[in-house]
Amino acid sequence: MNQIVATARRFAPSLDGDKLIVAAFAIIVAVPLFVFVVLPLASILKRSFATAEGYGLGNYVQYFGDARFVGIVGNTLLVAACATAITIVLAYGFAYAMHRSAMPFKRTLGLVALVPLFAPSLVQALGVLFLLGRNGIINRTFDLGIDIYGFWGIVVADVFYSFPHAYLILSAALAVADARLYESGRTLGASDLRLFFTVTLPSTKYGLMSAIFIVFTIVITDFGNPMVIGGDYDVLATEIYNQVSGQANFEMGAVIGMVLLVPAAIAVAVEKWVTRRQYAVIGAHSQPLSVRPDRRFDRIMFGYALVICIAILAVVGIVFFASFVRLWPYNMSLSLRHYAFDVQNGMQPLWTSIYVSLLAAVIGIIFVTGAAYVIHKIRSRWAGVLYFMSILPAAVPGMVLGLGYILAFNDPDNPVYMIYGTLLILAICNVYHYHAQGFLIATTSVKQVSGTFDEASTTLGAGFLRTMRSITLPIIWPSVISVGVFFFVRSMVTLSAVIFLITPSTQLAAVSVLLLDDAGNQNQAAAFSVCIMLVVVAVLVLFQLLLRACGVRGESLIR
Amino acid sequence: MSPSDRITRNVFLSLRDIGKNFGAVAALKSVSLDVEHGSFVCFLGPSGCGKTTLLRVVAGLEEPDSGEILLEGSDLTRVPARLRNFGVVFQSYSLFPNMTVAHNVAYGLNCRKWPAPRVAERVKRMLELVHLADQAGKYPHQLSGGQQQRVALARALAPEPRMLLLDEPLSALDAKVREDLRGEIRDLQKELGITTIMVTHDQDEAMEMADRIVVMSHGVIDQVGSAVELYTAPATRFVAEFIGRINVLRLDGDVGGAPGIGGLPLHRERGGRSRTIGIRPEDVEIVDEPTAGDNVFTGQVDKVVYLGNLTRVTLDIAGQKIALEQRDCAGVAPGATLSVRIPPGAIHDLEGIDT
Repeated sequence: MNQIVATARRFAPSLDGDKLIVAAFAIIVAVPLFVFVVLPLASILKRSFATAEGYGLGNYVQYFGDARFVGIVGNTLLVAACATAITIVLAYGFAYAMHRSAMPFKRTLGLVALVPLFAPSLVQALGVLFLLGRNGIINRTFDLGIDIYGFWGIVVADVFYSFPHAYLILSAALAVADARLYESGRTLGASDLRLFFTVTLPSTKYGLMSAIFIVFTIVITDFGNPMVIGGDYDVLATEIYNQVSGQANFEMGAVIGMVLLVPAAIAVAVEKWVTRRQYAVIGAHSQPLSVRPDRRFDRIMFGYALVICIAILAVVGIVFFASFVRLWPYNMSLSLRHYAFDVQNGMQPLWTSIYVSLLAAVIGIIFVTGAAYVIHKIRSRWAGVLYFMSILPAAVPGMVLGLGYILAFNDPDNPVYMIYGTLLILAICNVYHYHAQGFLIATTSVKQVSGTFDEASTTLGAGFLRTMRSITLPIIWPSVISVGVFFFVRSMVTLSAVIFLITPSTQLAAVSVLLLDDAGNQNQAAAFSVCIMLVVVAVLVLFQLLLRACGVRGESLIR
Repeated sequence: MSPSDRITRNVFLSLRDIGKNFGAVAALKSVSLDVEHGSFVCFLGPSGCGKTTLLRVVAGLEEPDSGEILLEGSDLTRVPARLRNFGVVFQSYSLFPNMTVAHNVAYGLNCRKWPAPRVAERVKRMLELVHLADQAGKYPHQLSGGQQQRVALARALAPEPRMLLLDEPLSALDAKVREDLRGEIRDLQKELGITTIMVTHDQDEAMEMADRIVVMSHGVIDQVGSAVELYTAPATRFVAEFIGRINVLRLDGDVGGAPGIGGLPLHRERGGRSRTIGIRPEDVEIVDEPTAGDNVFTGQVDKVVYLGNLTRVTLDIAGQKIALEQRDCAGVAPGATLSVRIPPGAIHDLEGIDT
């Protein structure tokens, strides 16, 4: 023992080998977080204040004095408010049907509700156009003259796009309930309606607020749908693209970036504040609520859920259908010609996307799980700094991050310039764009291990590396896989951040869909979308089967 | 503990002025304690009293903000947990779910690079010690809670640790299993002669198992002593109320030169003058002749509760409730008038800490 103490004393107090390894790990994850998150944001901030006469508020004064710009801000908020309200009501009803009724086919309906997650954001707009557009099935068949382009088009497409996100959050809120409250209420003579307003709604209010803010953020920062279906109705996300890509107006781009950043940041901050409060709803003594069948109620709920699912499937299904139509709407005969991909770069963007997504998955696994792990290992206030940087990207809209990358890295003096314009920077951009979500997935499982398993291992004499090799990784690997799959899927379907970073030789599949649609080539755009969705679904199924084959249950890959 | 004790006792682990804050909360306020070689010590107290933090400081899982830890005279304060060679058993079993029982037990030995044949032999021996030799190939989730905790014990003891640290090892188990394991852990500890610290919030557990009990509240040690010492001579009101039941009485002002109850003086042996006193329910005697003697008080019976081996009678004397527990209380009924005697020698002075 004295020998052990003596050995330890040689390292003590600050040069303990384990502490050095942890510090090294922390630096390895912290440096890229700083470079790829903080630096781009700082660049935008700086550029937005840069005027011909030095730094000042000139740009802000100029654009906020511009009636058109103010109008676009108003447009964006209006669309976001409207789409959020509709999405939340629909998703709450759907989650309610899933958890509080005894309707049949819950599993299938629940899966269908998540389908929009597997598609790039503009696919919803594409589907809505095939259904309700000037040449859409409905107008063609019934000749109603509906004009979907513009405000309502964006709203409808974004409702579809954000529905699964809202549903997942509300589903978590409605899945748990304290049966005792309902029983007490009923014995006191409360009607079902009164119970809903006095028990259900209050106990899900945090989930509800969470969902509202998440959806609001998704809608104001969405780029794909407004691009395809917005028509003349400009919103900030499309405007930033037009100003930067079309006119190289970086000053205005930076101002819009800041304007987009503010509501998104507020929404995320409030959402974090709200979720921290959520845990008290269910205590250790709560009784789980069991759903009692009620034929009439279950039928109504089933009908409602069915309508929602049919709508979701219709939007995605019509895109599938359109990808096989010879020339929508003039020649509706079926053909495989759009899958020849004989224009543009052919199939190349799809392979590029898969490659970038794989790269993002690997980088994500290493750096994002690394960040989650190392934060639990360090006990100083640096853990707080690292945590903040890790979840900061949740508040940064993709368009803003992408613009930040241009401003920060499109500069030969910056070392990152070496990889500027390569596939690597696209993968990195995707990882740090979705860093917060990936980080939270990893943190959940790291937390389970880092408590007692880690401590047990340490007290038995294991060092950092042995604990990681023999305990942590063997226990959390399903979550590590899940983080990788998350980054793969997001990278396949994302458009907003990378749109600023692609070059003709590094074009991605989702961008191809946008360009094909823009060129009036809707059928090929549909075919390309289908390919993206098939790749995503194939990867999800493959890994879910893999996990099951390894005996892992309850690890959901759908995030 | 007096200085002379320290010389005669064989001090193994010594904690000196340990302080630990979590943010603005002081979890430990300058705690000092000596643990004798080969003894079984319990840290006892309500949740949030700092007992688990103190154990984690000993284990090296928390670094103290101030103070030092000495093990047989050498400074352990900055030695990382993995180099301390202490066996730790956690409340939540914490067996590695990806390893079999045998691999769990072998883990600490492999960390110390024991040769394989010795590891196998030691694992076998440890599992025999906890009566689980036949479960070696199973995974933790295939075992019951009690079995898992016994494996955890075997795993902690396998590398021949200097000390055994148990963090509420029994509180996640069923009552029956808990009873069995209490005895089993205590036997094992005696057999191996290993110095052991156990954290618990269960006073019965502490009294049954420990040589010495360390009662803690609000980050400080209230009292250290054997079960008998704590029960018969509690140093503070907190200890008096936490260990067993006790009546706490507020005395009136001067009644014939000494504080009293309801206008009658209360005599006590230890000559204390504190205004708050404690008296154990079993020490209160029923007096047949209502008028006789010193320290006899008369009141009205408030409640009578039959407990099987005992009957608990609650009495209202001058507005204060006094409970007494006696074997034979035949004929005592609520509303009746009853006289009781408080023996001078059984009175505990509780002032100083009273609020």
